[in-house]
Amino acid sequence: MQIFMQQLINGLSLGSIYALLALGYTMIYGIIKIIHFAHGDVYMLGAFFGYYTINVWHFNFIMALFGSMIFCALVGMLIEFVAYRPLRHSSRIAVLITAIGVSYFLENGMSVLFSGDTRDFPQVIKQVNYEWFGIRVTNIQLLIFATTIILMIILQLIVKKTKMGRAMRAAAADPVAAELMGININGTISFVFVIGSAMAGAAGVLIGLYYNSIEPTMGLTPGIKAFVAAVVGGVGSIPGAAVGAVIIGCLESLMQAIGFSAFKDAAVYVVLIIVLLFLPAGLFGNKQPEKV
Amino acid sequence: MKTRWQTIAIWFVCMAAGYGIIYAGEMTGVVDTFIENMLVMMGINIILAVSLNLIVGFSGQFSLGHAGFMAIGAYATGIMTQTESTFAGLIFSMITGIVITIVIALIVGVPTLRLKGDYLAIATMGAAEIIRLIANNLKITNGPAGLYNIPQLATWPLVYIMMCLTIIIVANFVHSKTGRAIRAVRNDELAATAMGINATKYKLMAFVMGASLAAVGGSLYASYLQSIAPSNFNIMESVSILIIVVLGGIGSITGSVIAAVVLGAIDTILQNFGSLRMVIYAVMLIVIMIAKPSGLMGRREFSIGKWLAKRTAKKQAAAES
Amino acid sequence: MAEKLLTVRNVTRQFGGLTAVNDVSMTIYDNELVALIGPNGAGKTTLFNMLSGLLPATSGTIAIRHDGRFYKVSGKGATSAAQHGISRTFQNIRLFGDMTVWENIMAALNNQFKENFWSTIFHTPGYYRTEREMNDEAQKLIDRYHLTAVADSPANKLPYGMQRRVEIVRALATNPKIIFLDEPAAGMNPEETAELTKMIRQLRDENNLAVLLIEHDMSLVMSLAERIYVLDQGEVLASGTPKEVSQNPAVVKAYLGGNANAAG
Repeated sequence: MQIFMQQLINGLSLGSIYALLALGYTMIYGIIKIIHFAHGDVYMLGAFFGYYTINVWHFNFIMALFGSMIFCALVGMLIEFVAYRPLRHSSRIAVLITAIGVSYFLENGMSVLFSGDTRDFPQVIKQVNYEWFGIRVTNIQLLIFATTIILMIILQLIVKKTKMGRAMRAAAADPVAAELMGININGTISFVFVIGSAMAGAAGVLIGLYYNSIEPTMGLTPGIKAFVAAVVGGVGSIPGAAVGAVIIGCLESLMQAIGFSAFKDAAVYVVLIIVLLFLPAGLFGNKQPEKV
Repeated sequence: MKTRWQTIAIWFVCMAAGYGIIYAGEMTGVVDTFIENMLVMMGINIILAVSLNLIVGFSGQFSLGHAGFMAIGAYATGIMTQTESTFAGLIFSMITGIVITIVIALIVGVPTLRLKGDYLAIATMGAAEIIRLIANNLKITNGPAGLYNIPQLATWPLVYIMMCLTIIIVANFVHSKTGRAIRAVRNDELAATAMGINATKYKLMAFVMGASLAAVGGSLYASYLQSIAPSNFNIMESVSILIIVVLGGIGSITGSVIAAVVLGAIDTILQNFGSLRMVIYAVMLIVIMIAKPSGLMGRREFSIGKWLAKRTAKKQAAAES
Repeated sequence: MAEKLLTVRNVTRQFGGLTAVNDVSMTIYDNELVALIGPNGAGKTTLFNMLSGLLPATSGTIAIRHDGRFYKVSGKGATSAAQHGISRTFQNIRLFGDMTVWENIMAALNNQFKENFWSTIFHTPGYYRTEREMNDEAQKLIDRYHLTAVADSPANKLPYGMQRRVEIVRALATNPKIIFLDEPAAGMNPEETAELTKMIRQLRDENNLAVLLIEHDMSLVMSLAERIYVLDQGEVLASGTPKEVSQNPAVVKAYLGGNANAAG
């Protein structure tokens, strides 16, 4: 039982980070129906931004977090403008290939500029362990939970209460109608990328603190898992992305705990396939029937 | 009637000429090991791209799992030719790889082919990753280290012939009643079923066919390069093959062939740029996609049959005037 | 005495709380030309989709006579329906856009010819024989319905009226006993409609098949249909000959509007 609770805590931490990424994927897919393949690399850039600002400019955690969020928001906006917007009316595969191109560019660009070595993320917050009924929680894990929850609440507020949020939901439901109603589609899409990428940036800094090491290809696997989480929760659904991410995070922790570490990635894919087969719209999604 | 034989003759001559040129190159030393390596990889990539094009281009199934089937063929050959290191052993291992691939492609295809678009992409990607992770963890496949010292039984003539066979088989498949059914399903699945075409059957046929040919590619890969590891068959490998297909033109066999050759050449040229290589490649990719999203050939095909028919028509028109 | 071809008994279709089709019964006989009319939202297309096997009925039975026996249609899928003699066109034309007119028709001929795997991949003489036989059939249809000029054009490049014609010929290529036409005259001007009327009559006369069509264009309906079913709010309001239906006060009130003699 204790081990289970421990793994739950670890799973929740991992899941929180996946949630921050998954939210970006789900919002972006919801509005432009594109798998933003380079999202994991934006997360990586966030981690590196944190790394440099803390080491070179001696930022503290909060400054690094906000700085990274702003930086990544800009990067995300730029990617959308340069790579996705020109292909808005092209085939899905063409967009996917471009997204992959952007991903390659970011990963290898970073490798070229800063070498592909793994680096230690500066421990700008000293780890403190707490013991509760035999379960160990670190202050960093608490920080991850807190940050994630705060960001998600802010996101929900934006989506439900602001004009932009309404515009996002309208554009996701029916882009043509939304445009006819006077909604600035380009602006709305940029906004979605801004928010999604900012959250990815935050996730990058948090994971740097949590796992201590960063390298240029760190965005690949978490990116895929976060996308799986978004699908499991129902693509386009914000609560779904969060729930899906927690499920995936806990699954991973569990697999590690019971000794199947090698298969933890495979387990995520198995879950993906099972969900796609039996619940194609995900947990919170809704199926769009084809009109004859 | 006459056009049929003329077409076949011209194709045969072209393929023989290609063979002859490479042979001459080998004999005179113009084609050294390095160039041969490049040419063989181009040949294998043509097999992989053309077979993926059957799935993605003609059948419209967005598959990101091609490397998984390649892996099955590669490992079948890698494992079996170590005990039976003869040419016959290679062929037998290829057949085994194909049989296993057919079974797995059916298992993967039946449930996933009813998914659409991006969902199908990630499902197939997941399936391929599961295959790779299994290879990464089994003793018989030697885990992450992979297999090495696989006897080199695949020679460039074998790869060339297999490449030609693949092109012929896929082209014939597409230009047939089955091919039309597959394309109809891609165009409008609902309408196709209303016309009595069993969509699932045809989607599966294209998928299994494409997967089997990928396994052949994998077998040749293992037997020529002599060492394979699970990391050779990851998502990036599936993506690389997809890039060839998209760049050449989805639905164009000619395009896939051209793109495989061009990209193979560019890859070789870029070897000298070190780590900058991938950055240049990435920028190239983005620029080409934005400039011409439908790829080099779009859906157009270079068809000798059609070219001959046009010539005959022109001659007739000239004779009549 | 004409034989029953398609029997529809107490068919109902519910979508959640909404009843789109309610206890509808119809019988179509061999070689009949029947029209299904009614206001928008009456459930006509939903009924069509059930009759052609695309949508299962919530309750009731639909059966088609094929080779002497009756086969269930509901819940068996569109492919099964097509294999038992049902074919159709769609409200929003659904051609195989990237394919030429000839290829569209050849695709519809798919089930009537056999070709084995090896002939397919190696283009053996068997392949050429099958292609020739299929082509002969396709050419017959193309010539008979005046599609020769556009046979090699991609379907999505054709003008609207021509696309409609191709869709109907394609449906015919499956060798059905009954064709469902879903608003074939939609978006057509009077000349095109007149041509379409001629084509539908030719279709029915030359091929010994029944035609069931949904239409809003009353001139087409009244000149073509031998019998009419009127659907309103998911139920059969009236049925009978064009004269009977056009004079039925309930029908006039719900749909035809104004003078009872206007459409007669």
